[in-house]
Amino acid sequence: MAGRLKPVSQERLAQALAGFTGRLRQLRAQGFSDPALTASFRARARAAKLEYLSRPAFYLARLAERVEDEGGRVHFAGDAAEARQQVVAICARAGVSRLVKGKSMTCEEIELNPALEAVGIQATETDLGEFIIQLAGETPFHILGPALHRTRREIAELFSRHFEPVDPDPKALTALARKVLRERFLQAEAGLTGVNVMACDSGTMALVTNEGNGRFCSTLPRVHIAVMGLEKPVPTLGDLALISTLLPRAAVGWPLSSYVSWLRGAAGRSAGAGPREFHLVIVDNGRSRILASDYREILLCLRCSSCLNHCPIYIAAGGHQYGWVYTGPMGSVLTPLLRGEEGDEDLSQASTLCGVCREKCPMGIDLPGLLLRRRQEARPPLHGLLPRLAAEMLSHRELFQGACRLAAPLLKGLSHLDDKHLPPGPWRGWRRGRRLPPMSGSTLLGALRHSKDRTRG
Amino acid sequence: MTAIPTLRPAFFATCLVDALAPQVGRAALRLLARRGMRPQVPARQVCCGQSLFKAGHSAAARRVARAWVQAFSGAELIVSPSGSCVAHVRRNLPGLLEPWPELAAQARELAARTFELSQFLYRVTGLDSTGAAAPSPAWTYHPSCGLHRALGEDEAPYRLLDALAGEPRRPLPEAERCCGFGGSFSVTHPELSARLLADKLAAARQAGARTLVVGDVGCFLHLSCGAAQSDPELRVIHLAEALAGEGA
Repeated sequence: MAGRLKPVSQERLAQALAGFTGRLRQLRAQGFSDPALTASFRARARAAKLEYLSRPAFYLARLAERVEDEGGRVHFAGDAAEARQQVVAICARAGVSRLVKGKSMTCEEIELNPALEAVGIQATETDLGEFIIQLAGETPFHILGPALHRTRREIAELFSRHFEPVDPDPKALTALARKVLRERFLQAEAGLTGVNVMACDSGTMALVTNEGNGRFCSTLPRVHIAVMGLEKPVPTLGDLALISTLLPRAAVGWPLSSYVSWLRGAAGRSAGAGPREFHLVIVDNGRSRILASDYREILLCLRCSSCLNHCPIYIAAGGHQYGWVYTGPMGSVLTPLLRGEEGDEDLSQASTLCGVCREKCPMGIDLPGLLLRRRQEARPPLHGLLPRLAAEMLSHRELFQGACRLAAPLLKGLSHLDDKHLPPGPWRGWRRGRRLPPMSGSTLLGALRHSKDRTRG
Repeated sequence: MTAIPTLRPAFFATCLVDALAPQVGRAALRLLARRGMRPQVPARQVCCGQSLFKAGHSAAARRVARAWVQAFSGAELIVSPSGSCVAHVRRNLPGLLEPWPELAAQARELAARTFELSQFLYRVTGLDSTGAAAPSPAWTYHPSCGLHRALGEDEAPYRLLDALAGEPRRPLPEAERCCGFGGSFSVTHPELSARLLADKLAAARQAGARTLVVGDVGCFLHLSCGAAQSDPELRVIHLAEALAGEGA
């Protein structure tokens, strides 16, 4: 019955969460200050994605053709294991032993790094936050702030252990990370990135980053591997432009992030800049199944983190308790669909259905509706005796009044007991921070009827 | 105030008001009567089934929805002090009752005639001010997600509250943040629920408020039980009580 999410226990972490998400909420409000523009963005972006999702086979064939026209190779992976094998095989063929990575939620999802390490490929995360959690062996705490839960002191210890002694000073830490990463960038034979959005009409992919590391990864090494979830493409370059601005607006309130790269194919054998080889790995891993289900709307998700930043549950509980790489309201929908481990179903209960996630989603995804659907599917019709009894009680006036008469003295009795002597039941949870409500036993309707009878005399 | 003697709206108290907060129902009925109306209180009513529906018990919610439609059958207008219950009636009842086409048709008709109290007063009867005094001395307002988001009513309560005579409403920090009630959530996730509640009470304190007016019934009970435990100085009242000038 009890859900797995709890408020974070450390005061420092609670403050970090409040501060970080609070800043992002403010920024998002600036990015969407014009309601008419917001509505128009949302309508156009939804239409583009829905068009793609209505004919994915057609669009993916077109996309593959364009990518190969530009000298790239396209690989389809049915599940996470196949995606890992394909990346490993690409690396083996191209003689890659050192690889640099841009931030990619899809790579986190398919747990790529351990597979690369297992065959002796050094894979280095180059987004500063991802770099930190890779050293610590953790999953991202937040999409934009993967290492939000780590203090600078902890980061300094981590860096000192792995590289060289360093003070817990943000400037010194960043300088050290930069030094280490520069070397890795220059040594790497391959760069691996995610894909934020990709246009099927031209085979152009967009990378939206703030540290510039994605651009390094995709242009400097001789091989570029892009790992993309099946839901990411849109039909046209115009759609790609739209999503390229919608994503940073929703995430950090800016019309563009610091670095927006639009990349197409490989430089081939010509003298032009860019990687000699380009590989696009398109990952299904459950997405086709979601597309065929009543949850297909979640495939519109851009991973902008807006729903995390506004969700009162995420703000109080943080990312790790969601138990996987996707967190917040979108994580509560995606995790049971993509992973489906025991206990993941509980995530649908971890919401007050307050609706703020739907309101702030740049794609207008009905996240509370999807969570509610999961709740309904998790329970067979008239599951258990309690809902059935409650339904009878709430459908008959006499039963309801009778129940109120019985409940009033019970509630009174319970409210006089201290926590230690309280029998098991929902009142135990309720009594955390709340008194039980006072109840007279006579209902409003009963009292109104009574006074009416009296005046009639 | 202009009297509108012809209106005899049916009053939907909601199960929570009926059982746990009769003072909210009385305040709402007084407001309607002062406006020159003669509200009726259909005798068979109990609940709309919102909480069962949101907990995922669709079949149980369907059973309750059916009884609700039967209780309000024939009503020309329905008024309720709960925005979330009104949102449930409007959005979900017709769909839930699809297995019974006649009931579903009735539900659709009733849904279009069901209003939250402040919405009804402001939008249907054209009231700009209830003529009551503000709850003194320092007060603020929690808009409630059910009224504000689910029903999308973000004008009527503010217009009527800001027309109250006396001390103006104090702005509540992060006013639109959920109070952590969420029906079944409050007992499946008691620690998180209590944390959100504590944050909301702290925001009211930060606003310097002595009285916290709450837009919806569930949140009103949640916040008043929370204040009773940890902040007895803070008085929590429902929107209907504030508009009726109670506690002024």
